[in-house]
Amino acid sequence: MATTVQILRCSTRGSRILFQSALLRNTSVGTKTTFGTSSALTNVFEARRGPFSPEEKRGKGHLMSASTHWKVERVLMISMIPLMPAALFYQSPFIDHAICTAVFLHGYWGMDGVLTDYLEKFVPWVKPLWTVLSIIAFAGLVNFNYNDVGLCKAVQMLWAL
Amino acid sequence: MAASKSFMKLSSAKTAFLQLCQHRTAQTAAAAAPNVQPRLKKFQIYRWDPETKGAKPTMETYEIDLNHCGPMVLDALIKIKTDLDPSLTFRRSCREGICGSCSMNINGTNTLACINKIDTNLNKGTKVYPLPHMYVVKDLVPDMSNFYAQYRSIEPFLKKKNTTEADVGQTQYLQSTEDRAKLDGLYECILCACCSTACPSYWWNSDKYLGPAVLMQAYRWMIDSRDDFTDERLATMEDKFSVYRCHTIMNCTKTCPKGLNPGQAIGEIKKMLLSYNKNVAAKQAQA
Repeated sequence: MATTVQILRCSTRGSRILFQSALLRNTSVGTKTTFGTSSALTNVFEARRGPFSPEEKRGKGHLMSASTHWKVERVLMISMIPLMPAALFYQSPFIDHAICTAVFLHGYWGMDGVLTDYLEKFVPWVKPLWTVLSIIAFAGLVNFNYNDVGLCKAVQMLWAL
Repeated sequence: MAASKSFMKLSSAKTAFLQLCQHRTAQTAAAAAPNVQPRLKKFQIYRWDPETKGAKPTMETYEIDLNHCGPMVLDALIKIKTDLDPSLTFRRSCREGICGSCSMNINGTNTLACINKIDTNLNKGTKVYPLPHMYVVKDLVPDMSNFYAQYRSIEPFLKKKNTTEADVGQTQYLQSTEDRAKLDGLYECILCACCSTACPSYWWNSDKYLGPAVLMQAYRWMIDSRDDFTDERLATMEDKFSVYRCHTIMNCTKTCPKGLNPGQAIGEIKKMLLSYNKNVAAKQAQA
């Protein structure tokens, strides 16, 4: 009964309607199959459903405020519009590094948003994992630009195939 | 005998006239009850009774003769409740699209049942579901407590600086016509929750993302020239979730039964967040 009550309390998200009515009528709503017992597998899908304080929503350890972050994302997006065709005409290490950085940051922040939307509440460690993977990938890109042929040359070589 | 005596008092002309009237009304009565085919429309409605142990949600089909039903889906629901199944549970009040009680998902679209015309094509059924991704209290009734708590959290009332309780009601807060025009398209929101429950971001993050309805009302207070707390209101949105889960999917504007544009309001909030006074935000974070 205690676990049922706990599950009901979690799932009503602060609303007392279902919880109180079940208690008053002394029926056990949801004992059958609606929510079931928490096995190791179903535990993964039970994210905490609030209420969340403003501090929790802000998160910790941010370099920029949310609105600044949003502004930087959009500025980067717009800067990529002239950058891509420029690479068709001018090939240079500068363009190599510029494109790699821009595309990397755009993809990193984009994927960050996707993970925040869908995965973070179920798998909280997915964000640090993504950051680590991205740093490794960026290191690889910089190495490619510096020690190897570089991005523009690589694309030319691909087209020549 | 007394009755027939009173009839005898009528002159023959009046009697003839009376008989003519009776004959003609009988004719029209007969004409009004023609042999019209019943136009039967199927309604498939989501049903779930929490008080039945172990009950699962089901779809039940009801047939309604459209000749004896009003034009809107709410008329059909009420007819089903009175004639066919009294246990059908749904919210309704004004029946004219202004209270926002009867918001539900009809044929895949979130609208108000009272202003959604029944599709008279008898070959197709009408599917009625509660608002998507909301906890269901019973049948078509969703649990709106989270929605209302989010609305409360944006402080949807006029806030003025440097006023006391004693100042309230002393003078009018004047507003120019242009400033009043800014509120058009925002104040008409009836908080039916059709837009918020149509937003995929709100489906996945309804606990932290405020949703288009609440955000549009937040904007309504931000741009009200009589309100002095615009910067503070914007400062409360400075986190990853409250506003920035909006990815301009625009389901909200598409589904609004009142023809409002919450997507545009959210865009305006994002624009305002770029260039407001952030010192206010710092003060709020410390407080």
